[in-house]
Amino acid sequence: MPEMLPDPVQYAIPAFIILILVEMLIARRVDASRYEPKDTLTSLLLGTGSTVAGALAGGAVVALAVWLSQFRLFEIGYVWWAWIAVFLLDDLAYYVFHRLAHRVRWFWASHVIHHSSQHYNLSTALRQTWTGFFSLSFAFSLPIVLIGFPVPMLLFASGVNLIYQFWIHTEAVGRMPRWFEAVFNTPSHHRVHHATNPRYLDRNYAGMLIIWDRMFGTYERERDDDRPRYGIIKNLGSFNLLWAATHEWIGMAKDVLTIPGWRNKLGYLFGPPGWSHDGSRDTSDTIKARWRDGAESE
Amino acid sequence: MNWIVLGASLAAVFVVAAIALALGLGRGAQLGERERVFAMARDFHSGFRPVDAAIDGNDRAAFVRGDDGDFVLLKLHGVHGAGRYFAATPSLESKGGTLLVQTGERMFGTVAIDVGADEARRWAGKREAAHA
Ligand SMILES: [Zn+2]
Ligand SMILES: [Zn+2]
Repeated sequence: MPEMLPDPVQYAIPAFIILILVEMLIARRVDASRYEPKDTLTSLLLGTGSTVAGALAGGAVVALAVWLSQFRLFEIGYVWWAWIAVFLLDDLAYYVFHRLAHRVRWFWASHVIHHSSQHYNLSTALRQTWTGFFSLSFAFSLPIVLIGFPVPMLLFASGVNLIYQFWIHTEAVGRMPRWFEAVFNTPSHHRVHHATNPRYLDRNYAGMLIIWDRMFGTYERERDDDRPRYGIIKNLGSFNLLWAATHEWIGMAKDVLTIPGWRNKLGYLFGPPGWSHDGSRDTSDTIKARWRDGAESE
Repeated sequence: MNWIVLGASLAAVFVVAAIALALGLGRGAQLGERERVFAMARDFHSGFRPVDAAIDGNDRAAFVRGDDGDFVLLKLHGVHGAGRYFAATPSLESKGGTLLVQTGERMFGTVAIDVGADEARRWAGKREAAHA
């Protein structure tokens, strides 16, 4: 095992808690509906559960990465340009993973946890998956190891990426300066990502840099005449912790077990979320299409 | 991750949620008047054109009929509305002054809408009419 760098996330947790409390005080003055105690409790417990799951699976993932690193193409040390490159590549890998997490049900089953709150505040940022290991989210970073970047360097970069994404989960910040909005992911961009408005569905997958969405055509700007409504298409209507963590896996298992035909079964596993063999359910594409039709006929 | 860290984290989590409660956040939410319920139903399912609504006396739930024979069910969940769309009439039942709408989903549950006996019967009658 190589010498590991400190885990930046652990050091950030006290700051997370302080900022949540500050945001609550702001909410009390501006809009008391920004927080809901039961929702906050669910988010924070899901976050705690996610750290436990991460601790359980993390060792295996790191061991796999270290083992893979013996096949690396280049010998890249801790030089300054490697730090810049690893942040860029890790952020790009996050974009790819995150885009698939919204377009392939197998990955969505795990990522949906993060979107399961109808609130959008700093506590929502901590609502993280318990089952990321099963949806193989770590696989997207492994090419960076194979290129030859040191594993500890990559882990540090993805820790910083996770910390960065905390502060953007807020309605307390309107817009950042234009140059910042052009390059970085911001509260405004990420509000769009968490919104269920047809216009905003499956947009702004960015982690730290919004440039990937602009480059790959998935960017959507937040509009003042279409305020984001947060959550998922079929909101849970329940604060049950275990249900939030597992509902999509359970739904997927039910579909695969009850609907005959291997093509159908594959569709329910790896098709887009909401895909159904008889077209009876909504996907983000059908919702967008219906919304566009409605806008044209008006 | 050891047991002490986990215990301390859980304690912190409950303290933070208790502070949200003590600050009075997320209290007193309601679905609102007919027009607002219609707007919510339209937002919930694009293309939905509401024509009639059974709105709970305590503003905690609403059942909205669209002009296509479709329905949107809304229930207050925390301070927001959570909804379900039905392309055809779902299972309805009137019980005293309450209209019961079954979603067929265990975790979303059956939604009770307090609308008074006459209205509850009228809405539940739509089911018989639809099946006649
Ligand atoms: Zn997402
Ligand atoms: Zn987010």
